[in-house]
Amino acid sequence: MNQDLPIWIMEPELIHKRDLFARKLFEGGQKKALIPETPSIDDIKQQLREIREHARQNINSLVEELQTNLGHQYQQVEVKLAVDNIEAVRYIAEISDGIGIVSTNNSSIVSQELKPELLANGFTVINSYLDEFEAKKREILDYWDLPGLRDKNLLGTFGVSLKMAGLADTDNKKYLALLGVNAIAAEDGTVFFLQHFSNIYDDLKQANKVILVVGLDKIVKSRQDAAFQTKCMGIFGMESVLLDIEPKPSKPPSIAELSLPPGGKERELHLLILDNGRTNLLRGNFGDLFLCIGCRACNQHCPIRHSFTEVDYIWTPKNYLSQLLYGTSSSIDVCLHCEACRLECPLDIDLPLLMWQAKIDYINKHGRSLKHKILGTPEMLAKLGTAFALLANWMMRLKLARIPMEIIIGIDRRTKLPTFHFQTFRKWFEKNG
Amino acid sequence: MAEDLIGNKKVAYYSGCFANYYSPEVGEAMVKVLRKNGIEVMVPDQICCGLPMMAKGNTKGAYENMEHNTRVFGQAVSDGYALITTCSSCSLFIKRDYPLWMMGSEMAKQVSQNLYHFSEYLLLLHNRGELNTDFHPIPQTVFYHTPCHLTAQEIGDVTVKLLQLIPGITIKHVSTECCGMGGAYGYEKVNYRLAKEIAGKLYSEIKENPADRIVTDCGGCKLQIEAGTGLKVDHPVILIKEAYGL
Repeated sequence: MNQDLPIWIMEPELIHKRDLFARKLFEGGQKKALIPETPSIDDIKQQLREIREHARQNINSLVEELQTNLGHQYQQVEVKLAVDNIEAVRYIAEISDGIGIVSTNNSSIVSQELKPELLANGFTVINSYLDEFEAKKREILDYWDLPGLRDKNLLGTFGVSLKMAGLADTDNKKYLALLGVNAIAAEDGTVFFLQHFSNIYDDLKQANKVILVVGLDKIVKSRQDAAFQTKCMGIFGMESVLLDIEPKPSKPPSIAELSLPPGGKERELHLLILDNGRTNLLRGNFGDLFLCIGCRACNQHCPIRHSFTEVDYIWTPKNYLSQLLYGTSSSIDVCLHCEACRLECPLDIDLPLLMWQAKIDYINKHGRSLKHKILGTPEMLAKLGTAFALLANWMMRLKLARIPMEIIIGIDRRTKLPTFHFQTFRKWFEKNG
Repeated sequence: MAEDLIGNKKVAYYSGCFANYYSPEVGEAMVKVLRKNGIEVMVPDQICCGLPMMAKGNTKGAYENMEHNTRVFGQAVSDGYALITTCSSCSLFIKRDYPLWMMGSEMAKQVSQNLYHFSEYLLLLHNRGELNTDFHPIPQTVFYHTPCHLTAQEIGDVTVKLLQLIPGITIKHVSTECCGMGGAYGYEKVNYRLAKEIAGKLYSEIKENPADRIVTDCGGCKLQIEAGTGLKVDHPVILIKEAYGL
């Protein structure tokens, strides 16, 4: 049996508003509204947790099932299992047919895991999402501007808006589209995307070669589960997505300029299943990261996210940790451990704990700097300061003393340090106990 | 179990480093407030909770400190003392991280379960009708800053609720914006600019909502606010002490 691969796109929709309106209209008992009650956020989290736990515990069989089903049912799709980003990009280069322009969506899997390697291999990477701000002058709807959306329970506000079967034969432009999928069903191969603008659909309908990138963690059991997981990305990630909707200049070339002559190369659909460290994650202390659906809720109240608006990928605490684990970042001190990410995660992934763990692993491997060794004994420093309170307080106000302090232990000379006291509280208590 | 210890009117106070070395007036106020309520106060032999050590990768030292504090405060729990802190970072770390890092330690669990942020404890006492509410009025407006580590304890607006018991106090604004200090994070040259950027929102809120008093439970937040605004910041227990006329 050979069919076209089902590719379903979810978008925000206004059904929820319609339902609320209907409910209000029928209030008063004259007619009973036939609107089902929306489940609570806790119920949604529970269902999501079950889907993710199943994916985590059955990853090997799910990959196998997906590969088998794709091979049997959708023979026009070229399927490749890549162990890491290098193998993935090598495959992309092999099938590129000399096309050097790659358009990506905003998924972290393509923007963070594959993009650096693509660039190193000479590809030009563009993002049609950014292009849309300029080309179509799309405006952010009032829908998106509502604060505290998550608490209002938004299950009904995301739905499947487009059901494609394979690649529509509408256009053919000379570029590769590399699209990180949001979920895929092992049982029938249905691919799900969550789309905020129309960039994903545009890429699907016009790129000469479409490469769907499936992280191992994106494979779930059924179409129903994949749809639910994708919907949850919207529900829990909406406010964080809003934070990232900032028009940025797109980079040339524009897709409109990439026309192929009529009768040119036929369009191709590829599906790349990417491990890239995920199996290793499951074996170690970081297995909970496998539960992540990439909704970016962890970014919502992260105080340091603002510092990363200039990077050309979407920064989240989870992505920061992943980079550390995949060895693409060596910074272990960016997180200030406020724990806001833990409170927001719909799957209760304990990111702060995992950050500690990553730090411990890093230090076990690389050791500690002198600065860290000194700052890592705060009470000893406090005791010294107290023993020589007069001298310490005087020195800390002395610019000349602050310069070596900045050089040796990295304490910025502009900071105002606390004052030491001759008598500590516990000394006072001994006298007044 | 925890409720029973509150009823015992016996408290073992974990002052943490900040109240001990940098703001002894906070520790002194805490002891006076507890005694005003007829509560027996003990200050056991304690060391740094380990959080700032962990942050700088001194995991071995942090673990040793966790063990020491668990042993000392675990004994206090066994002796019927409820545990309190005045530092929201210490209370978060002891409550949440001690049992996680000392897996399998029943004592760490006991310490965690019986440890209260000071305002959480006093409010529980109030809910039982056992808090002395003989407060003198303080006719002042308050800008209250919620430390991230208090929010992370998921115990609600305990300090705000406690301050609202003082007649005359008007909580003019409650801010949940991070101050960017994160212990020594904001002191480090590498983070200084970022920490100030993060604090920018909080500084603006303070400017837009002028109040007679600025109050926060965290020593690090206090220092960051004072450095950025030039205004004095108080720990909430200081206001409680004042309201008792102590």
